[in-house]
Amino acid sequence: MMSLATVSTGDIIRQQIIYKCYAMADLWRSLVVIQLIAIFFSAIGSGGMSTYDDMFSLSITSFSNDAVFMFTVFWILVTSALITSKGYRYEDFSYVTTRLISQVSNGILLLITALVASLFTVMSNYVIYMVVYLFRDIEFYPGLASVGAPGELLLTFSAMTGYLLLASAAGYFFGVLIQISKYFIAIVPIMMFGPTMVRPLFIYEFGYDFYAQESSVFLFLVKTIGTALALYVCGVALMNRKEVREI
Amino acid sequence: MTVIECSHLEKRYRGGAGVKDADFTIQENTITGIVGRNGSGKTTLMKTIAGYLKQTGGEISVFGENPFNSLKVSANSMYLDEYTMFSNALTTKDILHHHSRFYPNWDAQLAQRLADYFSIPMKVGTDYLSKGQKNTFYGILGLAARCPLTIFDEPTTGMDASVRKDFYRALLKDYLAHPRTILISSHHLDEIDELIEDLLLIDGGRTVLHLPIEEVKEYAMAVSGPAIEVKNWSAQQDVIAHLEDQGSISTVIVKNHFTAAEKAAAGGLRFAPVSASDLCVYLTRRNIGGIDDVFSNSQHG
Repeated sequence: MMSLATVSTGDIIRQQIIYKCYAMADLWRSLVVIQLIAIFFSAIGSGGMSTYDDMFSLSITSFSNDAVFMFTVFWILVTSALITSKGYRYEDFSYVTTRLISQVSNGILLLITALVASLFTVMSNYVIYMVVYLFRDIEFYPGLASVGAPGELLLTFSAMTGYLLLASAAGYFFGVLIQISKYFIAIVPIMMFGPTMVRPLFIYEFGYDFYAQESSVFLFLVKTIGTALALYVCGVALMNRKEVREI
Repeated sequence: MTVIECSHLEKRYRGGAGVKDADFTIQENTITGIVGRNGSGKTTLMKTIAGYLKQTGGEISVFGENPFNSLKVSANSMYLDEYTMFSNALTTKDILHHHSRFYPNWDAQLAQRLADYFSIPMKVGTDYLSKGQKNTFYGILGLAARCPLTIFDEPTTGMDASVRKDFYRALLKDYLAHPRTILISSHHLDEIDELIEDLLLIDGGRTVLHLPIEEVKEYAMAVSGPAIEVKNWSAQQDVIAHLEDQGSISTVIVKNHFTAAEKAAAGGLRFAPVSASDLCVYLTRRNIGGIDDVFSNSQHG
């Protein structure tokens, strides 16, 4: 008898993550493209004011990477939902895996993705700064967050990572629900936006009060990572009994 | 050592069908052919063994564990069919490389040499391969991974005749050099009856027959002669099937366990062996009569 291979869960998780990094090449590429588009829009400038008098005219245009960040949030939401789809799930089973290993490696992969995407977004500030500096004939006054001190950058990076993890876990959970039943495509939006019939800005207010208004970075991270973890664990639990290649 | 053990295994889908009652054990280092008609539950059975599907009843154990969510089973088995999925971001060469990371027995040299021999393009994703090339490529993966349990579900779909022959030959050669447990399903028993050691026949989700292929070839006899004589003689026998009468000559397929004396009593009847693949057809006939009956009693008739 060919001796049976004994493999450790940890090693297979590692092998699956390495594999997924290759298999996700298209998704990585789409992140770069989306950020470049957002950088282009950002370099045109967002918001501004102008005033003039007999002797002078003053126009202020502000530049920020807000657009890059919003695009990235949207990207990670969609990407996270996408990797729960049949194509990506079935592929794992073409190699060695179990449902748990498959999902834990997805989780770690999404964590890495969120960290990399945050880093890219923070760095995009410098790209926007450079583009504006080179191509726009204006006087430039950098703000705190753009080319700020390391402390400021770390703060921005942490906050972005928190939001991206939240968006990623929400996308992942939504993706899992759709895999369980296609009806969730309709149910989830109804549950999300149903309450807005009564209070128009319900979700916005909740999100704003609970996450955005949090003044302590530490508590903010506890809240976002905690929510993300809860959503992710629910997703894993739901998927752990799901069959593959059932047709 | 027992590799697969199923007792009253059942796997029902919401629609019905699937496996209803599979009862068999498969020992290590054997090649078993899984044969059955379309929709008889071959694929469902094999996917349940591979741990893709969860059984709805009965017991299943592979390497001593329930295969569903078992890392031991996943690491030591491989299920391959024409729908096996790989990311199109990976070239066939990349896929070979990733297999070497996952499977400790992987033989990279063998994989490369087989790929060269079968002229599999190495720089494209699997979507760009033809149906036959794709299945040949999956066959190469199954051979080179040398998993203790390898499951090929209709491996030769789309392959041309010469590739088919070469593939079975490669399978046999590698099996002899590195014995392991192989399950292989095919619609064409004629093609694999030289290759397999055991035959597992499934019909309507039930295991009908599980015997060494040599015994299957001896399992039944076709007895033909004048209708009355055939009828009288076969009254005492286990009749598997009645064939269509050809004029006054009638033919029955009977189990080959009659005594020499009984055979002698048959007088003028003709005895002919039944091939394994014909036997499978007779054992899994759904109804009396055949395709001809569909056309009789209709406007065509």
